[in-house]
Amino acid sequence: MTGMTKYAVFGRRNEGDDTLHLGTVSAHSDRLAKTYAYNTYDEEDWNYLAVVREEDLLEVEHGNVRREVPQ
Amino acid sequence: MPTEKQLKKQLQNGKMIESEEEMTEGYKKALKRILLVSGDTELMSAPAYYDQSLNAPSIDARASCISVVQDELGHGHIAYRLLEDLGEDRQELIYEREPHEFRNTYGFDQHLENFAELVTAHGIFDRAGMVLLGDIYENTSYAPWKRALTKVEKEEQFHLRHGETWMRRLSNKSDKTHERLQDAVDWMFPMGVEWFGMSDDQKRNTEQLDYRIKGKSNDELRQDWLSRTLPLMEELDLDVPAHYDEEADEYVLEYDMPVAFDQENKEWRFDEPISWDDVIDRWRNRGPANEKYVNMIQSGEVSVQV
Repeated sequence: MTGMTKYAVFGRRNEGDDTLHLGTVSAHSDRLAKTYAYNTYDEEDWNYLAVVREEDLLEVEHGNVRREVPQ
Repeated sequence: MPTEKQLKKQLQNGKMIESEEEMTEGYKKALKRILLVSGDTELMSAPAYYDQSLNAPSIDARASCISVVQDELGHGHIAYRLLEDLGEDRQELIYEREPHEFRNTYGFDQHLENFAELVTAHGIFDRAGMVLLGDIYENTSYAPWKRALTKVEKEEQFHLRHGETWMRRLSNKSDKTHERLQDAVDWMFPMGVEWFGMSDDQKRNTEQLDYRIKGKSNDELRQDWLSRTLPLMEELDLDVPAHYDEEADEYVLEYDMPVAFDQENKEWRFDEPISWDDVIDRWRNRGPANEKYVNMIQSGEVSVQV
Protein backbone atom coordinates (compact mmCIF):
# COMPACT_ATOMS: atom_id res chain seq x y z
CA MET A 1 0.00 0.00 0.00
CA THR A 2 1.20 3.54 -0.77
CA GLY A 3 3.85 5.01 1.49
CA MET A 4 4.03 1.90 3.60
CA THR A 5 7.26 0.26 4.65
CA LYS A 6 7.38 -3.47 5.06
CA TYR A 7 8.88 -4.94 8.21
CA ALA A 8 9.87 -8.50 9.06
CA VAL A 9 8.69 -9.59 12.51
CA PHE A 10 10.82 -11.78 14.80
CA GLY A 11 9.84 -13.30 18.13
CA ARG A 12 11.18 -15.55 20.89
CA ARG A 13 8.86 -17.35 23.31
CA ASN A 14 11.26 -17.76 26.25
CA GLU A 15 14.81 -16.76 27.03
CA GLY A 16 17.15 -19.23 25.38
CA ASP A 17 14.62 -20.28 22.70
CA ASP A 18 15.25 -19.92 18.99
CA THR A 19 14.23 -16.60 17.49
CA LEU A 20 11.44 -17.21 14.98
CA HIS A 21 10.52 -15.32 11.85
CA LEU A 22 6.81 -14.76 12.48
CA GLY A 23 5.83 -12.88 9.34
CA THR A 24 5.61 -9.28 8.20
CA VAL A 25 3.70 -6.06 8.83
CA SER A 26 3.41 -2.93 6.70
CA ALA A 27 3.35 0.44 8.41
CA HIS A 28 3.90 4.19 7.91
CA SER A 29 6.39 4.44 10.81
CA ASP A 30 8.60 2.32 13.06
CA ARG A 31 6.31 3.07 15.99
CA LEU A 32 3.24 1.85 14.11
CA ALA A 33 5.16 -1.20 12.87
CA LYS A 34 5.91 -2.16 16.48
CA THR A 35 2.27 -1.64 17.46
CA TYR A 36 1.00 -3.69 14.51
CA ALA A 37 3.47 -6.48 15.27
CA TYR A 38 2.44 -6.53 18.93
CA ASN A 39 -1.26 -6.71 18.06
CA THR A 40 -1.06 -8.97 15.04
CA TYR A 41 1.25 -11.64 16.43
CA ASP A 42 -0.49 -11.89 19.79
CA GLU A 43 -0.74 -15.68 19.81
CA GLU A 44 2.08 -15.88 22.38
CA ASP A 45 3.26 -13.90 25.34
CA TRP A 46 6.58 -13.20 23.62
CA ASN A 47 9.71 -12.79 25.71
CA TYR A 48 11.23 -10.89 22.77
CA LEU A 49 9.53 -9.30 19.78
CA ALA A 50 11.28 -7.19 17.15
CA VAL A 51 10.62 -5.63 13.75
CA VAL A 52 13.27 -5.03 11.09
CA ARG A 53 12.70 -2.90 7.99
CA GLU A 54 12.80 -5.37 5.16
CA GLU A 55 15.14 -3.09 3.16
CA ASP A 56 17.61 -3.26 6.09
CA LEU A 57 17.69 -7.02 6.08
CA LEU A 58 20.85 -7.92 4.22
CA GLU A 59 20.80 -11.43 2.93
CA VAL A 60 24.15 -13.20 3.01
CA GLU A 61 24.39 -15.33 -0.07
CA HIS A 62 26.38 -18.47 0.14
CA GLY A 63 29.95 -17.95 -1.10
CA ASN A 64 29.64 -14.19 -1.70
CA VAL A 65 30.89 -13.01 1.67
CA ARG A 66 34.61 -13.42 1.13
CA ARG A 67 34.54 -11.50 -2.17
CA GLU A 68 32.87 -8.50 -0.51
CA VAL A 69 35.47 -8.17 2.25
CA PRO A 70 37.96 -5.39 1.28
CA GLN A 71 41.47 -6.68 0.66
CA MET B 1 13.58 -22.19 -13.59
CA PRO B 2 12.20 -25.74 -13.69
CA THR B 3 9.27 -26.65 -15.93
CA GLU B 4 5.84 -27.14 -14.31
CA LYS B 5 6.34 -30.90 -14.48
CA GLN B 6 9.82 -30.76 -12.94
CA LEU B 7 8.65 -28.48 -10.13
CA LYS B 8 5.71 -30.75 -9.31
CA LYS B 9 8.09 -33.68 -9.06
CA GLN B 10 10.50 -31.76 -6.79
CA LEU B 11 7.59 -30.67 -4.58
CA GLN B 12 6.29 -34.23 -4.29
CA ASN B 13 9.80 -35.16 -3.10
CA GLY B 14 9.58 -32.62 -0.30
CA LYS B 15 10.97 -29.40 -1.80
CA MET B 16 9.78 -26.25 0.00
CA ILE B 17 9.18 -22.89 -1.68
CA GLU B 18 10.33 -19.76 0.15
CA SER B 19 9.90 -16.94 -2.36
CA GLU B 20 8.20 -15.85 -5.55
CA GLU B 21 11.42 -16.29 -7.56
CA GLU B 22 11.27 -20.05 -7.04
CA MET B 23 7.69 -20.36 -8.35
CA THR B 24 6.50 -21.31 -11.79
CA GLU B 25 3.50 -19.41 -13.14
CA GLY B 26 1.30 -22.45 -12.51
CA TYR B 27 2.39 -22.72 -8.88
CA LYS B 28 1.86 -19.03 -8.24
CA LYS B 29 -1.61 -19.09 -9.79
CA ALA B 30 -2.71 -22.15 -7.77
CA LEU B 31 -1.28 -20.70 -4.53
CA LYS B 32 -2.92 -17.31 -5.04
CA ARG B 33 -6.28 -18.93 -5.72
CA ILE B 34 -6.33 -20.90 -2.45
CA LEU B 35 -4.91 -18.00 -0.43
CA LEU B 36 -7.70 -15.75 -1.67
CA VAL B 37 -10.36 -18.29 -0.67
CA SER B 38 -8.67 -18.65 2.73
CA GLY B 39 -8.30 -14.89 3.33
CA ASP B 40 -11.85 -14.09 2.18
CA THR B 41 -13.29 -16.90 4.31
CA GLU B 42 -11.48 -15.72 7.44
CA LEU B 43 -12.39 -12.10 6.79
CA MET B 44 -16.08 -12.74 6.12
CA SER B 45 -16.46 -14.96 9.17
CA ALA B 46 -15.87 -11.82 11.27
CA PRO B 47 -19.05 -9.93 10.25
CA ALA B 48 -20.92 -13.24 10.15
CA TYR B 49 -20.05 -13.85 13.81
CA TYR B 50 -20.42 -10.25 14.94
CA ASP B 51 -24.17 -9.69 15.40
CA GLN B 52 -24.86 -12.79 17.47
CA SER B 53 -21.73 -12.18 19.57
CA LEU B 54 -23.59 -9.19 20.97
CA ASN B 55 -26.45 -11.52 21.79
CA ALA B 56 -24.28 -13.76 23.98
CA PRO B 57 -25.92 -14.71 27.29
CA SER B 58 -23.16 -13.36 29.57
CA ILE B 59 -20.37 -10.78 29.53
CA ASP B 60 -17.76 -13.56 29.59
CA ALA B 61 -19.40 -15.28 26.65
CA ARG B 62 -19.57 -12.01 24.76
CA ALA B 63 -15.90 -11.29 25.42
CA SER B 64 -14.98 -14.76 24.09
CA CYS B 65 -17.16 -14.27 21.01
CA ILE B 66 -15.65 -10.87 20.22
CA SER B 67 -12.20 -12.30 20.74
CA VAL B 68 -13.02 -14.89 18.08
CA VAL B 69 -14.06 -12.09 15.71
CA GLN B 70 -10.76 -10.31 16.33
CA ASP B 71 -8.83 -13.55 15.71
CA GLU B 72 -10.62 -14.10 12.41
CA LEU B 73 -9.65 -10.60 11.22
CA GLY B 74 -6.06 -11.45 12.16
CA HIS B 75 -6.23 -14.70 10.18
CA GLY B 76 -7.58 -12.82 7.17
CA HIS B 77 -4.68 -10.40 7.51
CA ILE B 78 -2.21 -13.29 7.30
CA ALA B 79 -3.59 -14.57 4.00
CA TYR B 80 -3.77 -11.07 2.45
CA ARG B 81 -0.23 -10.34 3.66
CA LEU B 82 0.98 -13.47 1.87
CA LEU B 83 -0.93 -12.40 -1.25
CA GLU B 84 0.76 -9.01 -1.02
CA ASP B 85 4.13 -10.76 -1.13
CA LEU B 86 2.93 -12.26 -4.41
CA GLY B 87 2.11 -8.90 -5.98
CA GLU B 88 -1.52 -8.32 -4.93
CA ASP B 89 -2.69 -5.08 -3.30
CA ARG B 90 -4.27 -5.66 0.11
CA GLN B 91 -6.19 -2.39 0.03
CA GLU B 92 -7.75 -3.33 -3.30
CA LEU B 93 -8.53 -6.86 -2.19
CA ILE B 94 -10.39 -5.78 0.91
CA TYR B 95 -11.91 -2.44 -0.01
CA GLU B 96 -12.21 -2.27 -3.76
CA ARG B 97 -13.92 -5.49 -4.74
CA GLU B 98 -17.65 -5.88 -5.26
CA PRO B 99 -19.40 -8.25 -2.81
CA HIS B 100 -19.90 -10.94 -5.47
CA GLU B 101 -16.16 -10.93 -6.20
CA PHE B 102 -15.29 -12.31 -2.76
CA ARG B 103 -14.37 -15.98 -2.77
CA ASN B 104 -15.25 -16.93 0.81
CA THR B 105 -16.93 -20.20 1.53
CA TYR B 106 -20.72 -20.17 1.09
CA GLY B 107 -21.30 -20.79 4.82
CA PHE B 108 -20.25 -17.22 5.55
CA ASP B 109 -22.81 -15.85 3.12
CA GLN B 110 -25.56 -16.93 5.51
CA HIS B 111 -27.28 -14.92 8.22
CA LEU B 112 -26.72 -16.27 11.71
CA GLU B 113 -29.98 -15.62 13.48
CA ASN B 114 -29.52 -16.68 17.08
CA PHE B 115 -26.80 -17.58 19.59
CA ALA B 116 -27.31 -21.32 18.99
CA GLU B 117 -26.43 -20.79 15.31
CA LEU B 118 -23.32 -18.82 16.29
CA VAL B 119 -21.89 -21.50 18.57
CA THR B 120 -22.84 -24.22 16.09
CA ALA B 121 -20.93 -22.26 13.46
CA HIS B 122 -17.90 -22.40 15.78
CA GLY B 123 -18.42 -26.10 16.37
CA ILE B 124 -19.05 -27.02 12.73
CA PHE B 125 -17.64 -24.33 10.41
CA ASP B 126 -14.52 -23.48 12.42
CA ARG B 127 -13.81 -27.20 12.62
CA ALA B 128 -14.00 -27.38 8.81
CA GLY B 129 -11.56 -24.47 8.65
CA MET B 130 -9.26 -26.21 11.10
CA VAL B 131 -9.27 -29.44 9.12
CA LEU B 132 -8.41 -27.56 5.92
CA LEU B 133 -5.72 -25.37 7.46
CA GLY B 134 -4.36 -28.19 9.64
CA ASP B 135 -3.66 -30.13 6.45
CA ILE B 136 -1.95 -27.12 4.89
CA TYR B 137 0.09 -26.56 8.06
CA GLU B 138 1.30 -30.16 7.98
CA ASN B 139 1.74 -30.66 4.27
CA THR B 140 2.12 -27.41 2.35
CA SER B 141 5.16 -26.75 0.21
CA TYR B 142 4.83 -22.97 0.72
CA ALA B 143 6.99 -22.30 3.78
CA PRO B 144 5.79 -18.74 4.60
CA TRP B 145 2.21 -20.03 4.84
CA LYS B 146 3.25 -22.93 7.05
CA ARG B 147 4.99 -20.54 9.47
CA ALA B 148 2.05 -18.14 9.51
CA LEU B 149 -0.39 -20.91 10.35
CA THR B 150 1.16 -21.52 13.79
CA LYS B 151 -0.93 -18.59 15.02
CA VAL B 152 -4.06 -19.72 13.21
CA GLU B 153 -3.88 -23.30 14.49
CA LYS B 154 -3.59 -22.17 18.06
CA GLU B 155 -6.45 -19.69 17.92
CA GLU B 156 -8.81 -21.96 16.00
CA GLN B 157 -8.45 -24.52 18.81
CA PHE B 158 -9.88 -21.91 21.14
CA HIS B 159 -12.79 -21.17 18.76
CA LEU B 160 -13.63 -24.82 18.61
CA ARG B 161 -13.46 -25.28 22.37
CA HIS B 162 -15.63 -22.20 22.85
CA GLY B 163 -18.17 -23.56 20.32
CA GLU B 164 -18.23 -27.03 21.85
CA THR B 165 -18.57 -25.72 25.39
CA TRP B 166 -21.58 -23.61 24.49
CA MET B 167 -23.13 -26.35 22.35
CA ARG B 168 -22.94 -28.64 25.41
CA ARG B 169 -24.50 -26.01 27.63
CA LEU B 170 -27.37 -25.35 25.24
CA SER B 171 -27.87 -29.05 24.67
CA ASN B 172 -28.23 -29.75 28.39
CA LYS B 173 -30.08 -26.61 29.47
CA SER B 174 -33.62 -27.32 28.30
CA ASP B 175 -35.63 -28.99 25.56
CA LYS B 176 -36.08 -25.59 23.96
CA THR B 177 -32.35 -24.80 23.73
CA HIS B 178 -31.63 -28.34 22.51
CA GLU B 179 -34.22 -27.83 19.79
CA ARG B 180 -32.58 -24.55 18.75
CA LEU B 181 -29.27 -26.38 18.47
CA GLN B 182 -30.86 -29.14 16.39
CA ASP B 183 -32.38 -26.52 14.06
CA ALA B 184 -28.94 -24.96 13.60
CA VAL B 185 -27.28 -28.33 12.98
CA ASP B 186 -29.98 -29.26 10.44
CA TRP B 187 -28.76 -26.66 7.95
CA MET B 188 -25.15 -26.23 9.06
CA PHE B 189 -24.06 -29.86 9.06
CA PRO B 190 -24.75 -30.45 5.33
CA MET B 191 -23.12 -27.09 4.64
CA GLY B 192 -20.02 -28.36 6.44
CA VAL B 193 -20.12 -31.50 4.29
CA GLU B 194 -20.31 -29.39 1.11
CA TRP B 195 -17.50 -27.07 2.37
CA PHE B 196 -14.80 -29.51 1.18
CA GLY B 197 -15.97 -29.31 -2.42
CA MET B 198 -16.31 -31.71 -5.28
CA SER B 199 -15.87 -35.46 -4.69
CA ASP B 200 -12.48 -36.82 -5.73
CA ASP B 201 -13.92 -38.99 -8.51
CA GLN B 202 -15.36 -35.89 -10.21
CA LYS B 203 -12.56 -33.44 -9.59
CA ARG B 204 -10.70 -32.52 -12.74
CA ASN B 205 -8.31 -29.92 -11.39
CA THR B 206 -5.69 -31.44 -9.07
CA GLU B 207 -3.12 -28.62 -9.23
CA GLN B 208 -3.21 -27.86 -5.49
CA LEU B 209 -2.33 -31.46 -4.70
CA ASP B 210 0.19 -31.73 -7.57
CA TYR B 211 2.02 -28.64 -6.30
CA ARG B 212 1.59 -29.91 -2.70
CA ILE B 213 0.00 -26.62 -1.71
CA LYS B 214 -2.27 -28.90 0.28
CA GLY B 215 -1.72 -32.55 1.15
CA LYS B 216 -5.12 -34.24 1.39
CA SER B 217 -7.84 -34.61 -1.23
CA ASN B 218 -11.36 -33.20 -0.79
CA ASP B 219 -12.81 -36.57 0.23
CA GLU B 220 -9.97 -37.28 2.67
CA LEU B 221 -10.53 -33.89 4.30
CA ARG B 222 -14.30 -34.49 4.42
CA GLN B 223 -13.72 -37.84 6.16
CA ASP B 224 -11.37 -36.16 8.61
CA TRP B 225 -14.02 -33.54 9.42
CA LEU B 226 -16.78 -36.16 9.75
CA SER B 227 -14.61 -38.23 12.09
CA ARG B 228 -14.26 -35.21 14.42
CA THR B 229 -17.81 -33.86 14.06
CA LEU B 230 -19.95 -37.00 14.39
CA PRO B 231 -18.78 -37.99 17.90
CA LEU B 232 -19.80 -34.53 19.15
CA MET B 233 -23.22 -34.81 17.48
CA GLU B 234 -23.67 -38.19 19.10
CA GLU B 235 -22.60 -36.92 22.52
CA LEU B 236 -25.08 -34.04 22.32
CA ASP B 237 -27.86 -36.25 20.96
CA LEU B 238 -28.13 -34.23 17.76
CA ASP B 239 -29.39 -35.95 14.60
CA VAL B 240 -27.33 -35.66 11.45
CA PRO B 241 -27.72 -37.46 8.11
CA ALA B 242 -24.43 -39.41 8.37
CA HIS B 243 -23.02 -42.37 10.28
CA TYR B 244 -19.92 -44.53 10.61
CA ASP B 245 -19.98 -47.66 8.48
CA GLU B 246 -17.95 -50.31 10.25
CA GLU B 247 -17.67 -52.60 7.27
CA ALA B 248 -16.37 -49.89 4.95
CA ASP B 249 -14.41 -48.30 7.84
CA GLU B 250 -15.51 -44.85 6.81
CA TYR B 251 -18.15 -42.22 7.49
CA VAL B 252 -21.02 -42.29 5.05
CA LEU B 253 -23.70 -39.74 4.22
CA GLU B 254 -27.33 -40.75 4.26
CA TYR B 255 -28.10 -38.72 1.14
CA ASP B 256 -26.61 -38.33 -2.30
CA MET B 257 -24.35 -35.30 -2.13
CA PRO B 258 -24.68 -32.67 -3.52
CA VAL B 259 -28.30 -31.64 -3.01
CA ALA B 260 -30.33 -28.45 -3.51
CA PHE B 261 -30.41 -25.80 -0.80
CA ASP B 262 -33.35 -23.46 -0.21
CA GLN B 263 -31.40 -20.49 1.07
CA GLU B 264 -34.45 -18.40 2.01
CA ASN B 265 -35.65 -21.02 4.48
CA LYS B 266 -32.20 -22.55 5.21
CA GLU B 267 -33.45 -26.00 4.23
CA TRP B 268 -31.68 -28.74 2.36
CA ARG B 269 -33.77 -30.67 -0.15
CA PHE B 270 -32.28 -34.10 0.36
CA ASP B 271 -34.52 -35.66 -2.28
CA GLU B 272 -33.34 -33.20 -4.92
CA PRO B 273 -29.82 -34.15 -6.06
CA ILE B 274 -27.95 -31.55 -8.14
CA SER B 275 -24.61 -31.50 -9.96
CA TRP B 276 -21.37 -29.97 -8.61
CA ASP B 277 -21.65 -27.40 -11.42
CA ASP B 278 -24.97 -26.33 -9.85
CA VAL B 279 -23.25 -26.05 -6.45
CA ILE B 280 -20.47 -23.92 -7.91
CA ASP B 281 -23.07 -21.69 -9.59
CA ARG B 282 -24.85 -21.29 -6.24
CA TRP B 283 -21.54 -20.39 -4.55
CA ARG B 284 -20.63 -17.93 -7.33
CA ASN B 285 -24.04 -16.22 -7.10
CA ARG B 286 -23.23 -15.72 -3.41
CA GLY B 287 -25.66 -16.17 -0.53
CA PRO B 288 -28.19 -13.89 1.20
CA ALA B 289 -25.83 -12.14 3.65
CA ASN B 290 -22.94 -11.55 1.20
CA GLU B 291 -23.64 -7.86 0.54
CA LYS B 292 -24.34 -7.06 4.18
CA TYR B 293 -21.11 -8.66 5.40
CA VAL B 294 -18.90 -7.10 2.72
CA ASN B 295 -20.49 -3.70 3.44
CA MET B 296 -19.82 -4.08 7.16
CA ILE B 297 -16.12 -4.67 6.44
CA GLN B 298 -15.74 -2.03 3.75
CA SER B 299 -17.67 0.74 5.55
CA GLY B 300 -16.22 -0.07 8.96
CA GLU B 301 -19.70 0.53 10.35
CA VAL B 302 -21.87 -1.80 12.36
CA SER B 303 -25.44 -1.32 13.43
CA VAL B 304 -26.19 -2.26 16.98
CA GLN B 305 -29.69 -3.13 18.09
CA VAL B 306 -30.39 -2.39 21.72
